[in-house]
Amino acid sequence: MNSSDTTELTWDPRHFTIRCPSNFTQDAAGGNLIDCDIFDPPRQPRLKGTMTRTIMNHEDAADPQSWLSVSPVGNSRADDGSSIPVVVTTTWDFVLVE
Amino acid sequence: MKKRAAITLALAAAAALVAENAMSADPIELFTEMVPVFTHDRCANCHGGVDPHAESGPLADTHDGGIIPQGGTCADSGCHTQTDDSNPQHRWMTAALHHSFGGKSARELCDMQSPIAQRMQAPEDYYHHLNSDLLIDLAFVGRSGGANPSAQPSPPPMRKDDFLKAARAWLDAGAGCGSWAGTITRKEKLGASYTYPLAGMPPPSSVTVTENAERDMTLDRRDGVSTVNIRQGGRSNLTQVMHTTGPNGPCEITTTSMSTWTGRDAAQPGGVPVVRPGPGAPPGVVARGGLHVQINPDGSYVISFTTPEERTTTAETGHATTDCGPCHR
Repeated sequence: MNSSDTTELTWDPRHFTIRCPSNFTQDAAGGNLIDCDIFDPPRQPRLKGTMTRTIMNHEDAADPQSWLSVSPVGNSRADDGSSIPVVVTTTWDFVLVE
Repeated sequence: MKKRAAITLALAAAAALVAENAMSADPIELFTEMVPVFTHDRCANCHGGVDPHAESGPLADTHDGGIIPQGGTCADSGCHTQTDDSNPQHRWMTAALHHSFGGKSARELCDMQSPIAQRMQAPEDYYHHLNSDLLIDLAFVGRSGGANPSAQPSPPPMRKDDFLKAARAWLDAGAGCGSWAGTITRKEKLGASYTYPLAGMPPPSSVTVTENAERDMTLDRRDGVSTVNIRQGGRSNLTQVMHTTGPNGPCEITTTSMSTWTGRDAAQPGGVPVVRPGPGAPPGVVARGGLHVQINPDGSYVISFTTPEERTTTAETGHATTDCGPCHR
């Protein structure tokens, strides 16, 4: 016995943020790490860094941090409803071009 | 019977050229916020627009108070009375010709002022000049170089505190005239595989779930335009094994449901097709969104960006097998 179905969905544009704070307490156990230098034109005239976040549910941050957490894929377990973590790794590197 | 879910990750390539919106904050755009003040008569007149001493040439007769002899002051004649000729910091005077604002574009004005702001001992000097110069103060209340005429000249189209905020943002961003170029890569991964007993059925009836998804996004920004490339997709597989008793004794019923999805950017209404980012990639569209960089006085910063609208297609299939024999009604 077989069955099949197809569904199309349209998703609104998503707004994401990358923050390089002047101070940040690393949370390696929770899978939340930031490595970046603050902007300092004479010494560090570029914006560069890496951020890793482990999203346990899509409401654990003020800003949305994951598209997958609201995507067609299930993001909670079928047996107990607990969240399936989404690991998000973001790297950035910008320089000023005159 | 042991079943193993075949996990493959379906990735769909998507790309879009993202038009920058008004939020984009390149240093040149931060500077441009101040330009309506620089080019307003209250600033531009004394910065190259008026020469009170000119008796001939393009700036002749540009001074409402008439031609002032070289070395003369307007304060002596009862004009510009709100300045203080005895104080070099508050003396009425026109700016040097190389500080002329008239007829210059935002880029030309920025190229003029950027070296000044960066050359000063600290950007604070530049800010202090804007904040503390008496002639600038007078300009913001609609006084022409401290003149007190009966007709009130119009002030610049921006309040002084807003002007200073714009100056601060530009200085914090390095007081340059360029634009940000670079990349953002964002990789998202989700994966889970687990088995649990099937409620209401005798052991070892079970449900096995395997899910896997990935989304890779790359934003590449050059010349003020961001190109977004997205590859994403995923699959979930749920296998339910029921152990029961059929006409011929103990038997097994296995049902499998599989969901596979892929995604790409979605065409915006009225969107303009752009060049394909690479072989095999679908056409992108001009979409809303862009890149915004905000640099704070302490050097901390926030980069924000908006991805294009996306569309996903999910295909779901189901399959059931059993060795319990034919069903009888």
